[in-house]
Amino acid sequence: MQLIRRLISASPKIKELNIQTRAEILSSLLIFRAFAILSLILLISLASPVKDLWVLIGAFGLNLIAYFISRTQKFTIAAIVIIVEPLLAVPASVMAMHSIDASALSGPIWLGLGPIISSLVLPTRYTIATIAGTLISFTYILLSLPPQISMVIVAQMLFVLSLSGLALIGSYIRDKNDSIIQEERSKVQQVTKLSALGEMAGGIAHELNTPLAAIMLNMEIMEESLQEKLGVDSELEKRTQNVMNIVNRMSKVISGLKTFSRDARNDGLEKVSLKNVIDETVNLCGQRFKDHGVELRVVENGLDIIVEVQPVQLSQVLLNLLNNSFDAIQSLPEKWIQIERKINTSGRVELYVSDCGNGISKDNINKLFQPFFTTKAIGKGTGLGLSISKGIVNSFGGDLIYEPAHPNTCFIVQLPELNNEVKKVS
Amino acid sequence: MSNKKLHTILLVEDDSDLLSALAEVFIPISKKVFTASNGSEGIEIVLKEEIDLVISDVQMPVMTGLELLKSIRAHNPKIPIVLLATGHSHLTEEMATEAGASGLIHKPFRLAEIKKLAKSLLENYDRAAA
Repeated sequence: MQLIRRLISASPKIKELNIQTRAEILSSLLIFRAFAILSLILLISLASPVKDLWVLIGAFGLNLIAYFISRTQKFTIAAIVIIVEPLLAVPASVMAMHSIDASALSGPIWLGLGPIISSLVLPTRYTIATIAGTLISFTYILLSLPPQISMVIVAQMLFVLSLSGLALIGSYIRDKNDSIIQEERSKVQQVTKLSALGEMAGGIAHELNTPLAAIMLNMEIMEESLQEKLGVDSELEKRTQNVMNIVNRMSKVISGLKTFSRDARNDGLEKVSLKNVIDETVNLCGQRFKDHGVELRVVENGLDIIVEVQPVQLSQVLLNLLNNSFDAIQSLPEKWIQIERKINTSGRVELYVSDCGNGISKDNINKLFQPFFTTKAIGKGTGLGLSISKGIVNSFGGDLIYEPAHPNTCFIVQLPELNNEVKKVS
Repeated sequence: MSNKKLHTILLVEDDSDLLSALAEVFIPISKKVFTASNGSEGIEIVLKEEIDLVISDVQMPVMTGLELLKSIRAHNPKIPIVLLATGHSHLTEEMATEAGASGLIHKPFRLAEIKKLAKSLLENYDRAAA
């Protein structure tokens, strides 16, 4: 009873089970079959004079071997034993050619069990192999037996085939379910990883800014006291300034990390300069792009456009677009990414992020903003960036679109207009 | 310089490196400098001594800078209090002012920046007291 309950609960989600439970189920099935064959041996030997029982005894032995192998959790070897077993029916039928023997007739009965056992515990490919082995055995038996008992074998064969068919369908559905479950799980893992990374980044930002403050202060105190003792020294001033710049750069990287750690969804919208958001974002990744030979152009048109957004979130959107471009153009000989801000004829603010890539293929355009759609290598992209970005821009009353008419690859962040908020940058 | 009034300053910071550097900055230009490594040590000093300016970190163990700010404000609305924020605290200028702080500085900061803020706050404080 417990075994049946366990089988019912286990069969749809085999990969969900841990390896130990799988081994337990498989070994219970095998020992069950071994005893079934043993009772068959006893029945036959009671009913008729014992003759040629070694096929059944062999089957019993193989079941026992498979049982012990499955206990050690070596599923592949156990599967081979299960697949080989139906072939024992072949020598049984050879014997039957000479004398119609009970063991030859009873052979096919256990044949049908192989596929079922496989389908419950092992992957579909093993079930297919077991069914193939069973069919070969049956065909051989059918061809070698005298015609008068062929009908019995055909009936048995049909019965076993229908069982195998069911087992195969069940096994296929189970494998499909497993792969869906696996996929869903990896998506959840990606999201969890991202949020863990964000939290960690927040912690790092906190831990590092304080010692950076101490470095900066110590450096300036040292400079002051040395200047007092030695007088003004340009070398000392230059070196101090260098340290200051380095500390500032580190701090900027940290504030960039902080941007992602922050859950700003509940913040209100702020009126900010679009130029400032662009500058802060470019500060974050500019150095890395430069190091990789990517030219990052910010088109200056003298417009200081004020937009009503969550600046941290908008910066995240922009950084995401820049990083996508960066990844996409890595293999191209000439690498550039361009950011341009505009106000279109209907008064909407538009932020163009374009790069030297060749655009996005027609097949992929429709899927671009779907969560988890990515063309990046496994582990490189989460497929979440564009969908999250679109969600963020939508929450400002704007939209994130792909511009198919652009000669290169171009995305546009559209933001709602703000009347009379446009002024020239001085 | 000599006719200028010297002040008593309280520095509250859990990072001992930053605390001692800050103390070095303020000792030469103050009457006395007290240091504390968390909010609850800070509040004890504020209750015992006559403090003219408090400079406090925000994220500290035992008692945070914001809790310290609240408990100082409960019995002294005038004393200038500067908060030192790290990026993680997400504290904005408005939030700090609303909570009763007189100024907010983000780490890392320049020496001139903190000196300038302390000076202007102390001048205002003296003027209000006079």
